[in-house]
Amino acid sequence: MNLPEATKYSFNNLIRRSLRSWLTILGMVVGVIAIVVILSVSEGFNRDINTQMSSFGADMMFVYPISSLESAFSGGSGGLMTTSGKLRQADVDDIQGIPGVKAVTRGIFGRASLSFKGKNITGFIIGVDDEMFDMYPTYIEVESGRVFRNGERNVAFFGNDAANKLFGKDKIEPGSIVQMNGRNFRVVGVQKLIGTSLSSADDAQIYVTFDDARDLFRGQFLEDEVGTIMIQADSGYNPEDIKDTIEHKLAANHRVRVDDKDFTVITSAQISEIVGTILVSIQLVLGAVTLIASVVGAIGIANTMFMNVLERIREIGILKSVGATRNDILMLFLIESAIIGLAGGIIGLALGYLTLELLVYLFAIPVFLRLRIIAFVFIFSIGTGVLAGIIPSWRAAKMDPVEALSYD
Amino acid sequence: MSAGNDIIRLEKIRKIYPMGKGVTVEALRGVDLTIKKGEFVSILGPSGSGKSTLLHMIGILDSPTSGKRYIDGIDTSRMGEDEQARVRGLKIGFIFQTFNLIPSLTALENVELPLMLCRGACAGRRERAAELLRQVGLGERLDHHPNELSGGQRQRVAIARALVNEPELILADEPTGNLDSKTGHEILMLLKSLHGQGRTVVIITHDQYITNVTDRVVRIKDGMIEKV
Ligand SMILES: Nc1ncnc2c1ncn2[C@@H]1O[C@H](COP(=O)(O)OP(=O)(O)OP(=O)(O)O)[C@@H](O)[C@H]1O
Ligand SMILES: [Mg+2]
Repeated sequence: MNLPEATKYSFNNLIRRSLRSWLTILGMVVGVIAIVVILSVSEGFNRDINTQMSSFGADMMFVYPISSLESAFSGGSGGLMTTSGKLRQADVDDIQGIPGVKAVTRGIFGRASLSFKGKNITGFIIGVDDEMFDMYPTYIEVESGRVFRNGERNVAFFGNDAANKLFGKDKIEPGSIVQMNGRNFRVVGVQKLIGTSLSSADDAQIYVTFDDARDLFRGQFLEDEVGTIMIQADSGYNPEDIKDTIEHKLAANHRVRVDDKDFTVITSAQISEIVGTILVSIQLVLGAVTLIASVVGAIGIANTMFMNVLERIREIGILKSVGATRNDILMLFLIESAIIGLAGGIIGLALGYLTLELLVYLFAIPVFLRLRIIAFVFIFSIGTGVLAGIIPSWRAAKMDPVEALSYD
Repeated sequence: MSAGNDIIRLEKIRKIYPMGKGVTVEALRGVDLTIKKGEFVSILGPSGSGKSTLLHMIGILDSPTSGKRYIDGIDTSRMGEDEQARVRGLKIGFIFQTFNLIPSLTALENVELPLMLCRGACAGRRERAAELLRQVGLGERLDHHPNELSGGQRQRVAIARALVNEPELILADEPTGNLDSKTGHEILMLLKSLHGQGRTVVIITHDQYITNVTDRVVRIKDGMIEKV
């Protein structure tokens, strides 16, 4: 028997199958939904992070007044970090002189109470010099208005979410006046939405000049203290070497040993690496889910196929009496099993797609249902179907024709 | 002795079914039988005498416990299981008492079934199956399922299926057993007409009446063929 013939025969048979036997593919469907969702979400994050990293620049470095990287990530740039040491203006000046450092700028941040059109909320403010805008030309882009320049006072540049979401339906535009800690600030521009999963904090922040920020946070910082130092490395240098030099310089400034430093230098590469580690653990979860899904799906299909074989013993006898070989029977049943798997895959794919739509709608999770996920689902479901069908189909194939014919 | 004329030759065929605990049932106890090309044979015997078992032996549907079996002069013990299946599909057409049609397939699809395996010529099989159904008087029933047909009509479908591969040998196991006498007679006449067209037909029966129609009668009792 050739493949098209066998497929036609198996397909005809499946169409006439009872609903009950179809219900057993539910396990398969659920498994495929899980796979589609997890793969798409993981791909979504992946794509997001790549976008973020590439617009961010691979040659960036940051100094934070904390002793370890872990505390930086648990705090995030959206929250105030628990500082262990203090960064000073002298540190900024010293880094400026290190070979391989192309640009250095400082930042200072904290929360401030904001009020606009009678609404009072708390927002995240970062004070910077205008050099910072030049350091991130692809990350910080102007949507409307402009960025501020050094020397201006009482001006603000709003992140996109800060402009459009912070005050509900009242949108901030260039020209808007917003009160921060009781002082009037004129909005000069709004930033384009970065819009990746890692950028939500950056999109929600408000930029003011360094001097204004120091005034806003008066009492929280020492006279010459800075909150963070942002560094751009020269492309000809190894960022690790520069990092090393910075660490020694700052440790000396702070009169501590490098081993128990009260600050941390983070490079773009390190951030990528950490994100990569997170992705690997997502991938591990993914592997486990796929495994469980395939086992659950396979059990369902195998069950259906065993019943299918039992219900059709006489048919097997008839097929053998008209000359079907073991391979013919095996092929017929394996194809049925594969089609059941494929059906589970298609239904799961469709429901998985709907689930993704829902996730995007409800939680704005980045998803990316790429072609290769779809291809994987097809191969996975057909493969599971075939594997699950092997034992029942082989049973059918090796049945004794006379016994099968006289079965009732 | 011209072996070229023998379709089937059985020599000292025995079939023993082990029933567990050392008990065995000997369904065939040393059967010698030759079926020649173009013969019209009935095999007559009481219930439990081993008729069906013998038919399975002739049709290579089952293997003997001992003895020799030749189809067209070839020893079937030299064939593997799949080879036997292929030979069965090419050379033998079965007709059963209970029709043995596949309920999910239409009359036409049931008749096409042996051709689906594409052992012989595969092309034009739908036409050929339809033509055979017309020949057995079911030209109007091609798309009916077995449960929409009467017993006599089902048996006609089964006969068309048995013929579709143009086998050398048609084997019928009590083909009229589930039919009333009038319908049974019609089926018998249909089988007789097949013989009239030059086909080799073997009918198994416990009905004396059928033996009047066939050219030769083989009597079986307790798994042995009675010598004439
Ligand atoms: N699979 C089997 N296992 C054990 N015994 C069997 C088996 N098949 C047949 N027999 C026995 O072999 C003997 C012959 O059976 P067979 O079916 O050939 O008889 P039969 O002549 O066709 O009878 P009937 O006219 O009732 O169909 C019987 O005693 C039967 O019980
Ligand atoms: Mg019988």
